[in-house]
Amino acid sequence: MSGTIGLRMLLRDPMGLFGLVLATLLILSAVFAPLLASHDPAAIDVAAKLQPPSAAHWLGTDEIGRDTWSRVLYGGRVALAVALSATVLSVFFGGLLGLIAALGPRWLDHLLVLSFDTVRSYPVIILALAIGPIFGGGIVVLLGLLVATSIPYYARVMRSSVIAQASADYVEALRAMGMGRIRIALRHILPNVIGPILILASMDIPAFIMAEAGISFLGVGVKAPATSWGMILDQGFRYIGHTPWLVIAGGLPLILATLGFTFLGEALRDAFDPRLKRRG
Amino acid sequence: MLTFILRRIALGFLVLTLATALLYILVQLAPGDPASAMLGPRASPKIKAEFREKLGLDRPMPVQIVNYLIAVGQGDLGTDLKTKRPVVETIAAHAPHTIALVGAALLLAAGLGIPLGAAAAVRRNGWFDRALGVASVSLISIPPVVIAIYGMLFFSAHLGWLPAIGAGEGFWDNLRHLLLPAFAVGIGWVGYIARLVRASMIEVLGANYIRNARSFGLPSRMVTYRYALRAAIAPTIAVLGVGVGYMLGTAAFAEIVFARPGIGKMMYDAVTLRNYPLTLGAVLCATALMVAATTVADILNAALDPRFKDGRE
Amino acid sequence: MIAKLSALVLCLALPVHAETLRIAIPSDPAYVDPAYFGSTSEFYLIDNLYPRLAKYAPGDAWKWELDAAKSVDLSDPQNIKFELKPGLIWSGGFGELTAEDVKYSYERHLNPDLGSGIIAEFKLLDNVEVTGKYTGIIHLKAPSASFWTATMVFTTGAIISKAAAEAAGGYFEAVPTATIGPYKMKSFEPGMKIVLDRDQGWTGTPGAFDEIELIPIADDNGATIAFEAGELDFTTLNALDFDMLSTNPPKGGVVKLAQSVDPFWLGITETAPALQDIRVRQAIQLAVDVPAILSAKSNGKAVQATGLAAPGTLGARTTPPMARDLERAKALIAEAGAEGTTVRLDFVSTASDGSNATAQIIQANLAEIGLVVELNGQDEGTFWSIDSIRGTDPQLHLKSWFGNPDALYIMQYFTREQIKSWNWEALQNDEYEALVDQARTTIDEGARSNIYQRMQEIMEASGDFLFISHEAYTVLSRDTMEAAYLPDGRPVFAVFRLK
Repeated sequence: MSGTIGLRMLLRDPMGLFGLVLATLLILSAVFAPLLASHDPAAIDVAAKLQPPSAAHWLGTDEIGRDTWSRVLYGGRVALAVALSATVLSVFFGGLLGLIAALGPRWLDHLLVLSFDTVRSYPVIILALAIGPIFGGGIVVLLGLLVATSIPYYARVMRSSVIAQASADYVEALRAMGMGRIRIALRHILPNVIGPILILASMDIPAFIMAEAGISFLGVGVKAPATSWGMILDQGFRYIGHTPWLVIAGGLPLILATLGFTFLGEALRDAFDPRLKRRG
Repeated sequence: MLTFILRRIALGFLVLTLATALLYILVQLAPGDPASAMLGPRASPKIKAEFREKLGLDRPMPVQIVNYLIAVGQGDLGTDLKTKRPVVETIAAHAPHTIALVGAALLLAAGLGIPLGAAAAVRRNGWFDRALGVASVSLISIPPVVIAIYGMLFFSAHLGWLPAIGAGEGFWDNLRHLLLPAFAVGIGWVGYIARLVRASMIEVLGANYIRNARSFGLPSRMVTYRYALRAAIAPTIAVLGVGVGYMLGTAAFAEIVFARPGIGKMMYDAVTLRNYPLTLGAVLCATALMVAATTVADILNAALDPRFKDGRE
Repeated sequence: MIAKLSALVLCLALPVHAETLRIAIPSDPAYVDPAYFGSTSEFYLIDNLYPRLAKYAPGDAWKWELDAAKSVDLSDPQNIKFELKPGLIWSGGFGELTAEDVKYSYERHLNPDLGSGIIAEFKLLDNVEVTGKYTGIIHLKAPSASFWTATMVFTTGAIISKAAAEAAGGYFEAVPTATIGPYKMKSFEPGMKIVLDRDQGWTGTPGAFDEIELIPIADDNGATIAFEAGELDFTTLNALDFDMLSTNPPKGGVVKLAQSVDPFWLGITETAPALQDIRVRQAIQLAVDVPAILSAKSNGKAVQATGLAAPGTLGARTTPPMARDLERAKALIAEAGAEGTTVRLDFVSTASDGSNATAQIIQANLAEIGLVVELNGQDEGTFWSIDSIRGTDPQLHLKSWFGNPDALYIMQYFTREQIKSWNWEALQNDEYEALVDQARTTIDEGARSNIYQRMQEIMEASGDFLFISHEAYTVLSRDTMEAAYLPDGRPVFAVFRLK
């Protein structure tokens, strides 16, 4: 696998390029939200409530006159922060557990695989609806839930890739040379399997973005005064009779973000590792 | 094969048992009084006392877990604090709406996805195939809650073609009420199934027995659709098995947006009511359904896979 | 599955379209018992299913008319004589309405074991003397003008069947067993609908409908959509929707604005640790932007309140409403050293009636003076059934009570005795309590008005209350029928007519 060839392939794939551009724009808009925002996202101006887009409010205003454009920008920060941290945390812990399962004793492997299956058996949204309110909701609970339910997925992928590599010829050779199991795993196997896992992880970013928005829409995720695309959608749904702009403003960035990251992830996969299949 | 099926079913039960126990432990970790965490603030002191008694909340955790598992195993998910009836009854009253919705979404996904995928495989790398590829990815990545709201905005509020809320009464009315929500839940899977069918069709079209069939002089179109399609459906079924679990989550959004009295809507309402026995009961039922779907899919997959060897994981 | 299928077949086989009136309710009822009611659907059902001696009539003004009583003698304000109409039969086979039922219905509220939620209203009641099958005298401990207007003709004056209540164990849950009127309870499917049908034993003016369905729809949005889809005939919505709906009314919809006497206020519990310092409470009163709330919640259709008594009713204050003063609020917080304090705000969070907007405005306003507000939105039913958290630890609560043209109805609840029940603010004021007693037994209107005004001054000065408004509602009804509702938009089922 060569990085430069992969990158060139990625840039040649129109959808991949499209995804790359969208994702970059999104990340930039989140990072520079304070500069791009036309208003303080929390500033209330009830006299200007539920307005359609105008020069003063590019995406209109919500039911208490907050500027939707500014809220969308800050909502993007939340979406990306949640998605990226969920990805990093679940790849890290999932990878670690998968490695332990693959290299540890057989009984531990069985135990871990069983616990992965157990955690994977919960429907995430339904679980969030039940657990979120019991734990009081908020970003931390949301993140915990997303990470906990994603760990098994990465753990399984890591475990099977490590097991597959462990029987490869070069590993046999290293072992014959007297190198220790752990050392082989960390020095030689891990670098070979981590790439595909990272690509898989990049393909999961849109899933996390969607989950955050969905759970916040249900009112058990991000809490006011913080903002999220899901919350804007929820507001829009509540005031749909007054204005369609809120659901449009909450929905469009969500669609663009998931589309962008999905195209990017697909292209990355095709470019760097065509053998990988998307998860079901 | 039989041992595999039995083992797979046993594993399903084990996973479900563990998932139930884990849920119990998780809820006990919540801040505050464990009886309040499981029952919510609305429970009367009487219900709380009964609950403490039943699970032995003053006794060690393993005992409580076993008590909880026994109660759940007997179908006792507690009392719905709103109706004062058993949780199982409330869930049973709402479940048909969700099952109908997921079923309709599956039908829609397969009904559109399979022919589209097959058509794309036959016209491989043509414009149709390429367009479908982009469309598939796009459909997968649009959040169902957005599809539901936009669908309602356009078809119900703007055009007035389809009913916006409820489940309807009578068969045809039920069906009309089902259309938009099923669309919101199923549309993402159209692209998904189309992609899978396309991929496995391409694989099968190249396989030996199709070539043999061709050499025996069967007409090409018939070969394509009869043999190839049959082979392509197998992975689709397996995917649908897994999809059911995900659809249960997305169904919640559609039910809330369209005020359809299914499990998701019931849970959403129960959350503002702090009616925790109902929400926890619903999680267990949904988990059971998801485990069942995965198990069936695994078994079907094994049964349909000619390369299947007994004893493999 | 088979049961489901056969139910489906039955549905298809049934003849459709008996005349049905479909009315939205925000939530399911829990207790349809005059001793325990609190939520909207409970008000609707108690108002419409139980008889009263006299009740308020539908229309634009609060006027009462005789109901179960053939005659009432109010000439002696301490002893109210009544004679019931003969031939009013309880549904469910519980016989005829008699003076014994009246005695039972009113005296039960005095029984401490019942834990009646409206015990304060019956404070003045001494006993009901039964002088004949249909006749009796309500004896009060002191002469009172407000007992009739605030208690008897309002929902609180509901009469229940003694025999049915005793058979049911002393009180009614969501399905009352005995009612009187053109309609009776037929079925209750929680979360789905409540169906009323004709009471065959009713000999008065028949209702215009074969069935009335009460459909729980928690939010205005859903109710509007359901109305547009023809799935609903009558609903009261927030005033916020009025301008939108009246300029662009839904097909077949008649849109009216109803100005209620329902007070809406922010309660600030003086016993909550974070709020014990009166300076913190006063800072909250000064920091909240009430005009912003009115705009967000009612599009300016409701006006800022100066007290609990609605404009135009007895005892309404004429002082200017509280003005926002951020600088003073900040100074008070600094003086109290309360920066960074966290307080919880409980509110009824129905989806689109502006309650979430109101809560978020308060959250933002109080953030400006350094208080952190944790929002706790709940459904109507949970909010009113004082739950374990609020029962022990009420803090800030946004609420709206069903008003009564006699404001004493509400004001008499803010006494020490009511602290665990309705006095969530925990107002404890000796002068106030003396005024409550005095108000109950004052006959002269001018004197009563002065007492009411003084009581509201005390409320405001305590820092426990921030008066916001009296609610305005949008009433949406179908043009094929003549909707009948009280001045505050509450439907009167018996008087609904088809055009």
